[in-house]
Amino acid sequence: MGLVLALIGVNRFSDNSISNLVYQILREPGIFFSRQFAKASGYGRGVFDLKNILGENRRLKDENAGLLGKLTNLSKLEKTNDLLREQLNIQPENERRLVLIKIINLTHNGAASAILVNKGAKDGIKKSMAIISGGNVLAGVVKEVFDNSARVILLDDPRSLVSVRVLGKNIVGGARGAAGRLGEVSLDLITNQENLAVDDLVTTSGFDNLPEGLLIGRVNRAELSGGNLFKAVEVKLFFEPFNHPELFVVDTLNE
Amino acid sequence: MSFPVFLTSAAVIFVLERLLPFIVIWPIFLFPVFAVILLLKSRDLNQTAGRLASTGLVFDFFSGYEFGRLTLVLLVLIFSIFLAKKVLVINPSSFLSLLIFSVLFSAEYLILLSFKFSAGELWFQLPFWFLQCLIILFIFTFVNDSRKIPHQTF
Repeated sequence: MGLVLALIGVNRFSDNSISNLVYQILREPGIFFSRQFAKASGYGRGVFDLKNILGENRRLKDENAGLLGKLTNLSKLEKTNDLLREQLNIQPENERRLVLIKIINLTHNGAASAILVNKGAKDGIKKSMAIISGGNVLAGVVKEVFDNSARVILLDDPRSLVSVRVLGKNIVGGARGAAGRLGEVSLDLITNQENLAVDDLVTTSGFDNLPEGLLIGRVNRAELSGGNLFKAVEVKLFFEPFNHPELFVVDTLNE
Repeated sequence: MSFPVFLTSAAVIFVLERLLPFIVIWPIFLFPVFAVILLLKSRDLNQTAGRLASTGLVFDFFSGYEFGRLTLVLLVLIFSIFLAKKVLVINPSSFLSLLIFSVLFSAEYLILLSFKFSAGELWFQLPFWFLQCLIILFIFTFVNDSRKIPHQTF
């Protein structure tokens, strides 16, 4: 027992030297197993969740058709936007460098929702950087940085709090993870007067250290609570850690 | 439980805790439930505590919290169970008694580990704890009982 306490003490007072060593050794096997587990999850979930997958597939096809329509308009808007920026002499948006990272370990239980990734301080990873998956979907935020690895808390972790905006509406709040509620977050500070509806899209607001406009999820419950000032709002997250063994760290260059 | 069986069980739980989150969406509490049941059933709490604390170190690196927190929580849990065994009557051979206490002490473990639980969140997690306590208790009882069956002699 004494030895166990001594190890913890040594690690704390030697700048995580023991954690650095252990994560360095387990980096490659961790990446290998996470990739295999992610493959297994595809089959496992297919069996457990067949009914939902069929429904989701139908919904995605409809959504895809709608998005294709919007995409044709988008290229026109982009050209107009560039032209106006040039004429009004507006600075270009902050450039973002994306660093590819791989998951070494996923902890997804009632007390924590976190991942350990294979890039750390030596690769320029810093605390509070945003981690995204493909399609600009926010996965989490870097919490602890080691030499060659980093610990990221995912959005549904009880320690996570991110400033968010409801897309297309002037509503800003905080997305907070809740213990045991995996795959969803609750929105704080949404007053009963706010016009928030189910299926509204939620993105980052840019009011904290995170870049603006990263996708978070879709509102799946918004209820008026009688005596309270605020609404009870739950958001279903877009990010599913099981399907993404590889992610990106967003390094904002101009900030 | 002999040391090799303990180590094998811990290794299996370690792998399952890494694999299951990829397959199921409900929260996994295999290690705390395993630790609590082991401590409740243990006749020699000193020996079991030492083994658990050393195993806890391995789980600690992958707990999602800063290194050391899980082990310290585990030590507090060991102390609580030690006190509970002194004050309360916990019958290690009664399935129901073990089930109730394992759910209670797993809750203590998670509250201490996260410091962020509200009453509502605890109620939400209860079915998952209950189910996992039930499964691990069944396995424990089955393993113990199968080891007690005497060999047939002719």
